[in-house]
Amino acid sequence: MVFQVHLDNFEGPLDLLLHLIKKNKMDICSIAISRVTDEYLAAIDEMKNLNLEIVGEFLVMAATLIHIKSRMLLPDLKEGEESEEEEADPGEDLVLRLKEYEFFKKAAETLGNCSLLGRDMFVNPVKHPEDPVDDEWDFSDVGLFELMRVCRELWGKCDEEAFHQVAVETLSVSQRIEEICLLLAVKEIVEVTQLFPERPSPYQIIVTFLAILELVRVRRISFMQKVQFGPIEIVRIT
Amino acid sequence: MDTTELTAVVEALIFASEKPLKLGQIAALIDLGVPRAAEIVGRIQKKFGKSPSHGFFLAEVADGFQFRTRPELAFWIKKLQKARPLRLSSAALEILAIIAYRQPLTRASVEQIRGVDCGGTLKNLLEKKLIRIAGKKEAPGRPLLYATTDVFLEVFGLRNLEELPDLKQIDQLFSEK
Repeated sequence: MVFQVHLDNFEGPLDLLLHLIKKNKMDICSIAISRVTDEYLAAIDEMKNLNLEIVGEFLVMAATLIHIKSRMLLPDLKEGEESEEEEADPGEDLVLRLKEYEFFKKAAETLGNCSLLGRDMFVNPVKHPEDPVDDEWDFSDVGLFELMRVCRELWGKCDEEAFHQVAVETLSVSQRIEEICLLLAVKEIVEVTQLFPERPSPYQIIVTFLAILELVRVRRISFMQKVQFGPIEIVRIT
Repeated sequence: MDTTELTAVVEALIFASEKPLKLGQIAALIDLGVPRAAEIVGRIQKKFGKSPSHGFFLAEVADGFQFRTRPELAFWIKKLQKARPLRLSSAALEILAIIAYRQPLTRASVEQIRGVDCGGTLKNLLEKKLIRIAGKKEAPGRPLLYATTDVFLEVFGLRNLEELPDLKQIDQLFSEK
């Protein structure tokens, strides 16, 4: 039997299962799920034939389906076996998940059909040619995510040899705060990366970051960024 | 300034603004109250509605106002612009839908609903600034919570989150098909 599946169209096991149920023109219910189990397993075999790496999620779903089917085939052992009753029915559970997933799939399609900015609608690309330093800065855009990116980049530069140093590093956060303040007394704007040496030690990164965050907290400095993914700069608040 | 002049000023302000201009901002810029600003904007909205005789219209998005080209004309704009147009995969749209309706929620919750790993797409959406980290959940491991941003509203042309198509509407839409 040739079983044709367009694998790249499936976002995951739930998507595949939903597709099989819809293809057989069934409603989402336990019976429908157990009926398409064979087709689901055939789809997984197909993936194997194509030498695709089958993601764990697909296998977990296969196991769940077999579990549901076996429960349906076995005689009802409800009498006397209380523990069995307490266990949630995996079929019902899956029905709920499928329904929820179906809803979001529809919602996603509805969203995708909206007229999107940058795809269907465009705005006048306003450019301000003046010197950006004189512009009013927008501080709000530097979020946690951006800061984490800088931290990660610095971590990449981190000199691993530094782990072998035996001497105790005496740099403290308050000391670092003073140094940064001194630097900012001379220069109003400093790029965050300039506060670190070429190959900083993990200790230096941590202490300096704590110092920066503390200065932001007490509103001595603020962050700014000219372009997305551009350098993050700190500026003295006067 | 009389109403005609004010209308021209507000029109220019919206045209030259980089981001959708909010009523409050307009009111502050023209030094008048919000009701007056709303009245002026209403005039501009009438003037620049989605009409087949105009190339652009005044859109109300993310609690603000912005001139946008009509969706029907996208083909021509793409000929003009060399930049790649915005593309969102079906995975990205699914994740956005889940976050939009259930925010704030953790990556684990998103993955529970989709039944598949979402790490890569979430990162991508964060970089596009369509979603943001909204804090940490008070639960073991303090996982990050995700929520949608103003950029999301702007891109999808929504005034606010309440404007998301509601559950019944979506069901209706699909039963009509």
